[in-house]
Amino acid sequence: MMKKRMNKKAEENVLQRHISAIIILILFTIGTFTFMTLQANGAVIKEKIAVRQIALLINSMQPGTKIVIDMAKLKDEAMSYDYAGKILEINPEKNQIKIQLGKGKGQIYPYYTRLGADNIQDLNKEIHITS
Amino acid sequence: MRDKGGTMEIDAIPVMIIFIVILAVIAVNTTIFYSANINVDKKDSEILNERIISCFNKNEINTLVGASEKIAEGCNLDLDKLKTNKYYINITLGFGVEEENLQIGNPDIVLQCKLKEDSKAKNFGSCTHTRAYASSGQILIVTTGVNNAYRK
Repeated sequence: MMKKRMNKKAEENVLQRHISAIIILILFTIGTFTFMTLQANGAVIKEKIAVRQIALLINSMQPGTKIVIDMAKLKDEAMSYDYAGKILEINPEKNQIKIQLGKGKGQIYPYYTRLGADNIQDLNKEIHITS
Repeated sequence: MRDKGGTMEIDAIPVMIIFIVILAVIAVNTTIFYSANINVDKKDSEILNERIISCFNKNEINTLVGASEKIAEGCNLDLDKLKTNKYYINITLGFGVEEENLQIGNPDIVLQCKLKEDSKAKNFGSCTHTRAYASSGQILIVTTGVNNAYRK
C-alpha cells in the first residue's frame, strides 16, 4: 500500500517536471519567433535599409548636384512605432548619417562625399542636400 | 534511464535544454541573415570607382603627383574618410611602361575581396576594378574597395 502511494507520488513529480518543462519550452519558442518577426519587420531593419539608401545617394553626388529627401514616408514609419523624435541626422563633421524610426538607438552609416553644414538644409518635410 | 518494464524514460529537462539551444541558434542566424542581406559595399565601391574616373576626366588630371588633393578639392571626396579602414583606392596611370601609382586607405580590403570570391564570406569587403582612358590618353586603372563592417 505504502509502496503504491510512493510510486504515485513519484509519477506526479515526473509529470509536474514534464509539464513545467513544456511550458518553459512553449514560452521560449514564442519569444524566439517574436524576436525573429521583429528582426524581419521591425524598425531596425527599416532603419538599416533607409540609412544605406541615403548614404549611397550622398556618395553618388557629383559636384553641383542637389538631392531632396522626402521625409513623409519615414515619418509615417516612425509614427507606426510611436516615435516622434528626430528621424534623420546628417553629421558633416563625422561624415555620418543617423536614422531613427523607433525607440531604439537608431542606425548610423558613413558616407565619403565632402559636405559642409551649409550644404544641408533641414526643412522638416524635406531635406535638401547640395554638393 | 530504463524503468522496470524496460521502456526508456526520457527526462524533460535535457530535452528542453537541447530545444532551447536549437531555437537560440535559429534566432542568432536570423539576425545574421538580415544584417548580411543589406550589405551595400559592392554598390558603394562601384559608385566610388565611377566618381574617381569621372573626376580624372572632368579635371583633366594627367599625373598622380598631388592627385589626391585634386580628387578631394575638385570632386568633393572626403580624403580623411577615405583614408580610414573602411575604404581602399588604388589608381594606376600611364602608358604601360612608366606607370604612376597612388594608394589611399586600407589595402587589406583587396585580399578580402579575393577571399570573398572563393569563400562567399558575406562580411568581407567588396571591390570594383575598372580600366579606362584618362583625358591625356594614358591608361587609367582604378580599383576601389569598401568594407563598412569595420568599426573605424
